[in-house]
Amino acid sequence: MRRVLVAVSGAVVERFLDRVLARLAWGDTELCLLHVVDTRPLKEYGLAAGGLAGRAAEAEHRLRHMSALGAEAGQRMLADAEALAAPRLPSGTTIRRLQRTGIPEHEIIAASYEVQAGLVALGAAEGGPPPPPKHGPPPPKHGPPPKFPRRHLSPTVRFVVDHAPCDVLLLYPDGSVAG
Amino acid sequence: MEHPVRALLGLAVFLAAMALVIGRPRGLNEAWPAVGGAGGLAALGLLTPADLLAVARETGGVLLFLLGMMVVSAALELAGVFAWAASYAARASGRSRRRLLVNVFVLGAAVTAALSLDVTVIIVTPLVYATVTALGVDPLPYLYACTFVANTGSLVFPMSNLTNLLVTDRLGLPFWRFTLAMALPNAAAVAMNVAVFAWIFRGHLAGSLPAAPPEAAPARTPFFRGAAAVLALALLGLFAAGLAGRPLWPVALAAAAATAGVAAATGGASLPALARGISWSLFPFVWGMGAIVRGIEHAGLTAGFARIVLSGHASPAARLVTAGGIAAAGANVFNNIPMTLLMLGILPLAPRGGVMALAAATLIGVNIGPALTTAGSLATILWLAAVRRRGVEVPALEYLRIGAVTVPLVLAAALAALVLEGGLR
Repeated sequence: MRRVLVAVSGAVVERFLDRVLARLAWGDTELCLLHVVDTRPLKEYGLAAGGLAGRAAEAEHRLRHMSALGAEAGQRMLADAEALAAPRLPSGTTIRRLQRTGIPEHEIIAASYEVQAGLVALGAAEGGPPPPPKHGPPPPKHGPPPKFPRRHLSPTVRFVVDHAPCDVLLLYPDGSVAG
Repeated sequence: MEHPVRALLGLAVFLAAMALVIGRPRGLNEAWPAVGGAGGLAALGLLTPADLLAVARETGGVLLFLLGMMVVSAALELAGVFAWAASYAARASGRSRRRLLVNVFVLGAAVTAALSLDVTVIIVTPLVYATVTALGVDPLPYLYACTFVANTGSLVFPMSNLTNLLVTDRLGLPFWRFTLAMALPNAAAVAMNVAVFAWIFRGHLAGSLPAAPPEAAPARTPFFRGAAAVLALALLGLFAAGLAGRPLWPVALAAAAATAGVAAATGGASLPALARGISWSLFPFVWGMGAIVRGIEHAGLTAGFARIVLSGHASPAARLVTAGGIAAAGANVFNNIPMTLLMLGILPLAPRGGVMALAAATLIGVNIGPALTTAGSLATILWLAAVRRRGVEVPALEYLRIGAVTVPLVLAAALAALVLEGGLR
């Protein structure tokens, strides 16, 4: 059985999941939806608030609450994603919801090993400047080599592309797909 | 100069206390090493009981002010005033991620200016986190906006930062003279912070929010209205007291009593709930650090430091930049409170007429500098090394660049504004 791991964030649920579903054949395939509670903002809060004189205990208490809120928001995204995916998949397709806590790129790779994913899909929207114009590269000119429009992948996406143990499907906000 | 052996022992006590304050082994509250260090210096004979009492008198007004404002802030939180403000920031964003970031900056700058950076970091940041995660947005830029503006926007009023209170109180700087001197550097610092973040996080800020913020504002209870009214009156009272050259702590204590009265009358919160907002350990910490700094002054250890900061520069502008830079570096190596107290020991030695500008430069350094230690701190570097040892590659620059890029630029903008102001006068 093939397993497809889809990293879910707010943007992915809204814009990309239907494209993942439409582009792949889903016979004998399991869909694993993954949300990662990003610990970087929590860590920043811990350092900033915990560093204030006399506030360490209170900061720790509030940090636990924030972590729970992040996990809750993620569970809602996973539920939304499952509700979006279930009616479009062949009946009997298994959908698994996974939630991990850590640095998103590390957790996506760890989860892809854990579920033995055959494909990892993620949105390439966040973390880079707006995509290049759609009308293709500029016409070749004499003189210096032509400059083709370049996509700047976020560190998260770059890390996943560099380290994934399987194929990676990147979904761009303007509709093109890299795999 | 004290006996060299005693001075060296004093230095050892100071360094040990600072190491414990910074390292906090096993979650040790920083008040213990502060009070312990003061005790150690007293045992060495570098502090007399009269010194300890004098420090209590000097810091008493500031600490009473903090006590009152902590109660007011706790009441505002329990009444839902901050939650309402965070929700308003989201609703006023028009689903634009960029405008939401600017709104978070405005909210953080306003709360920091009026109530202190502690309130922005401790109370407002978790509310912003809750608001943006509920919208399905990556909270990273918004959370950094809160923790950074708490530092970069804490220059303007004496009450915006404990460091400002300590300096204005000790040097007897008038409230409005301080605020007028700091308004431009504060505005420059926040504007530079917004600009740098808009660039660093440009990828996160393109496009609209995936979900619309809820249209309905949180309910405004009688406690909400009462607490907001007390805040408005308290701010007016503080500004009036500042104008009249009166101490601020009676206004803060009156505001605390008024919020407690409103909470009891409306049934909005119990007194124990309000008291939970008070960080009691801050009081012995500030007193202990004040005593330690006085002790090392007695040991003659600050004289050399004063020479570095105050002399050797022909131009006043160079002296301001040196003081700001040293203060910022020291606030990262030590904690900003001891660094402020250390600088306070040498500021009165500045040439006549230069104390105000030098105090302003010092505060720009100690207030903005600590933003570096949240993102680019020793702790972060150690964490990066630890995950590398476990075989995980971390794009280190991604995590370090935020503080490393932002803090020098914001510091430069604020100091440039201060120097420019000096030139205009």
